[in-house]
Amino acid sequence: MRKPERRRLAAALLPVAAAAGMWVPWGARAQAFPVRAVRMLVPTPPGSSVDLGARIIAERLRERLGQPVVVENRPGAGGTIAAAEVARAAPDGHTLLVGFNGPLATAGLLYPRLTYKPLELTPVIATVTQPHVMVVAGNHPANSLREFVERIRAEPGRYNYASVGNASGSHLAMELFKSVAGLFIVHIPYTGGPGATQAVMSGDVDALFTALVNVQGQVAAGRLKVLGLAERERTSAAPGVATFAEQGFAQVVAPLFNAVAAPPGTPVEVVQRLNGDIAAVLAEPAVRQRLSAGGMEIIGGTPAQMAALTRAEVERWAPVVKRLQLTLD
Amino acid sequence: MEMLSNLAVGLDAAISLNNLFYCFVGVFLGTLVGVLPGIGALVTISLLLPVTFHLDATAALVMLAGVYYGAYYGGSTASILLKLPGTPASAVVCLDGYPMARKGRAGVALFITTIASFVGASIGIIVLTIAGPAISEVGLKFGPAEYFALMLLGLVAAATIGQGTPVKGIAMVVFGLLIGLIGTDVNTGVARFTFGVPELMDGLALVAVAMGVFGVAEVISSIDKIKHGEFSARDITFRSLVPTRQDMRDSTAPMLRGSAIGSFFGALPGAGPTISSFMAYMVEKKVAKDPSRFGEGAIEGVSAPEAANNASVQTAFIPTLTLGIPGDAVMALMLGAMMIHGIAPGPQLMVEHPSLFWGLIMSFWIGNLMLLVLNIPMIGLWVRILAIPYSVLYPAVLLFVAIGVFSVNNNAFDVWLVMVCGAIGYLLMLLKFQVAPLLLGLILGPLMEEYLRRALTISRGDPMVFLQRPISATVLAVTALLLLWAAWSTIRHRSGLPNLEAGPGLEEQVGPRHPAP
Repeated sequence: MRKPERRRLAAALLPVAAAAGMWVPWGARAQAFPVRAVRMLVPTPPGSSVDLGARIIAERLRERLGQPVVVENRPGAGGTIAAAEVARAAPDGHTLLVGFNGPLATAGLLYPRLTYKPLELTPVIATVTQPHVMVVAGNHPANSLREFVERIRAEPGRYNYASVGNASGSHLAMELFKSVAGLFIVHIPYTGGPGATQAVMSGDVDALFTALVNVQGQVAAGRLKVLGLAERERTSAAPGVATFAEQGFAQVVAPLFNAVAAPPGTPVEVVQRLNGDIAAVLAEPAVRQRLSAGGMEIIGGTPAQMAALTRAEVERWAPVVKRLQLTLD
Repeated sequence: MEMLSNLAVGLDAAISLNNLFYCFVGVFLGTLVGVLPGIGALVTISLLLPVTFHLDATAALVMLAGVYYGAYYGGSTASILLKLPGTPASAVVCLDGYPMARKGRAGVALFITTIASFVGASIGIIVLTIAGPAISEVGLKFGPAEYFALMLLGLVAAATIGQGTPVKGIAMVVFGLLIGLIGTDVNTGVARFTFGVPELMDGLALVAVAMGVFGVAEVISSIDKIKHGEFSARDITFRSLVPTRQDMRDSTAPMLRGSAIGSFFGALPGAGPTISSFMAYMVEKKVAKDPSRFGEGAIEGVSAPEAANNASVQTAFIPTLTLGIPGDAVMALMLGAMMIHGIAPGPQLMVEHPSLFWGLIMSFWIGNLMLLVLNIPMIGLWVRILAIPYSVLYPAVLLFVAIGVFSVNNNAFDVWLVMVCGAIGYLLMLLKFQVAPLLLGLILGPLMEEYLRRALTISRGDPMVFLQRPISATVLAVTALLLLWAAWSTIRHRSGLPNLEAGPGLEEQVGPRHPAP
């Protein structure tokens, strides 16, 4: 605990010192970044979309930083194991989290015994977002959200929906839709996307919120159909898909984003450097192309914009979590 | 005819020099990481992923797939030589493979696993080629009720897996089920028995438990035996490596049965190689004329599960390639690699990218041939590991265990877990409990609970759902018959029970024995 405090003090003193034209050894040390390999902790298993995005970025970031960038998967406990470790790490920019909505925002609402505060992590940059859609089986009678809602309302409590896991973005999004549309449809949690997707295809359940990229192939083959996009605007990945807002459910916006965060108290200069370098990586055509092939759309922007994103996320989901009494401990 | 032209397209793609090269790289790396306990295909493939950005899609997938199935060839090596299962699937091979090694038949065991792997994989590929899309449609008929029934069947059979009294076997299954409860409740999200340790929220890491209760426990129990050099390098001649005609005859039917079981379970997303190899072992034990040989180096106990897990690894590509539903994390990673190359996995893959689809399948043949050629000469080398003095070998083994288990989640907690499991495993060994049923309980327990609750939530609590669905009802009927049969044969053979009594004590196992005639 002592070290970070000293650094923070150093960072706080830096402008004063600079103004006075004084030599500050601590400040100089804080600026020495990067001096060794940078670890990117990924809170999901290898092969997950977060992992894919992290590896695509890491591969190019090492050139810009002039240091190795090592991606380490530390899955578990809804991504909070990795995030808690980053929160404990030295705030010098050499340990980063490539997180998603959960560990970066909603975990604070869900896990009462969390050892870190998601919003206290230092925001670096929001990297990508994945269009979040609601799908039903290809032969499902409903062809629009309206028809779907009518069908569910006609027989409340008869139908089921799948989620990729309890308290996941997929679960929360449907609960938001349920409360907005006044639906009674039963939650069947699965343990991951593939099982949930299969359940919709086979008709075991009626609907699922998932990242568009995970179901693109099945949609193209007519085995699944997309009823709505839970984003503010339509996506170039599927321009024909109407948003929830367009279909009369304006509040149903449930972005799935990935972002890079550093330990609390990371010096501004280090954050600036990382933000600039990662933004530059995201602007590279090859990176752009790979990410978009993986179903990811680039966000980018400043650390402040990322902070706004995570705060908005907490505000959006707090009422949903509270209504469902979702606490995981 | 269409099939032939498809295969021709595939072969054309697969034998391009470029793809042959990446196929070799894949299977070579696969064999290597398969042999290293704990360092599985998943870690390797994730490290290779950035490399594949610069390859064309077919070459990338051919290589990654090679790592995946290649790892299962090497997977049993450490199980046979050191009782150290690198994956939960290869834990089954410890049961009879390790006793074979103890009897100086390590080379034979390794040889037969290589052959069984090849046979299993070949049958898996044939099933994949001929019936892939049809099977994936059948797979979709397996809902939570069907999965539950299958798991129940496995569990009922599980108690019979070890040697020793059935009561001890059942006790171990229950112990496995109980520790399987640790972790987050899938339905409510409540953490059970985690005592506030976040690392326990996703349950116990299977690999850590498997390596602990088998490998580490064996190391501990061997400490006081270090002085006896039971194996020596001079015993190893090429003759002692090659199975006898009798070995081959004894293995033929088990390999075929194992391949069939593996092909079936592999094609179900989420079931996979581990359940396949356990099931294959249990079937062999049930059909054997003299089940008491199992656990003491019965060759069927090695060849059947090995054929099963390699077959299942090939048919695991069925849901992945024909539906876009990955059966496990490695398959998900491969779909990720596909997407990066702009190919959307899904039911259209076969139609839209025939050269990739069939090229990949044909590369499996080539890769498996390479694995056969690669692995047979290696046997002599692996067996020599046993000539290393224990005082050097065992610390090295523990080190590899620690590295391997750490590599799975990059978490030091799992290293502690493997050590604790080692201590528990040693205790169980002293008390003559078998650990295989424990592992199976731990694997099946969480899955069974998940499917049971899911089936009942969907049926709104009506248990008749298990009998109303034909597949589920059939499997449950088979389970009931199995129970009845077990009860009946116990009563009938009551006088024969001493044969099933706890296997040979530790001391007895040490001395080299003559192989069963």
